[in-house]
Amino acid sequence: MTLQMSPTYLLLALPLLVVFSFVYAATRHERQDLILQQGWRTAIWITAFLGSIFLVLWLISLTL
Amino acid sequence: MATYKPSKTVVVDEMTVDLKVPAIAAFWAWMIPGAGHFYQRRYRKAALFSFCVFSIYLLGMLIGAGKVVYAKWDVEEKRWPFLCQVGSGIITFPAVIQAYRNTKNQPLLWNEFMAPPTAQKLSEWNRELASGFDIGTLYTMVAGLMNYLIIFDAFFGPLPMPADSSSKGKKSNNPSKDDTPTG
Repeated sequence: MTLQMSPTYLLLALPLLVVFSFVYAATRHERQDLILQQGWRTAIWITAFLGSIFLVLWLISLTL
Repeated sequence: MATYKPSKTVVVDEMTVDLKVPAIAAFWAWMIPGAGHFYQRRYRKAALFSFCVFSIYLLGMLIGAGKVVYAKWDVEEKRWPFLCQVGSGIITFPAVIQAYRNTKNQPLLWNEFMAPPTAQKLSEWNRELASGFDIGTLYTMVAGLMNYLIIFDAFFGPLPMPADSSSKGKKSNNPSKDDTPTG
């Protein structure tokens, strides 16, 4: 099974991931250290969420 | 004689944040991303928000060859993404001006920058840019949507985390501490 798109397309998600994580964190906190912590946690959460969807779809594609 | 209008303050993360006049801050936050927080003297957040929104918007415009932001609402096309994009404020206003001139059959400005395309032109753009048109549209939409969050932050101050029950009661209109924000 091969990915039906260039993996470089996945890099397009990276700026959105970084920027959204920081904006989300900064709208929840006022202190800089808490913003950085929350931003990092949000980035991990989004990556895990999207990664799990990717994994499920990839597993389904194996059966096709 | 001028009347004194006390500004609104909230306590977040054990810091007192002066929101000044929230409506004015929210208006500026919409007009120029980060300007609302600059007005509230929350300088670091202003810089962060400004950088985040402008960089993603600019990146989207570059990926979409400057063609992804336009306003159109007729039988031919209802441009729903513009409702998100317009959250970025003044940088999307040329699209509104072009759409207005287009409906009034007036000549378009700025070499048709942000002008609503005809159906044929839109097909050409999609063919030329391929996924770049959709990805550029997505980037500019996210920039606008993020700025809606930022406007909210300028008006109400930081929100508590959805699952954070410990933050209940931390916000108050009667601050007891005199800490200043990071900005």
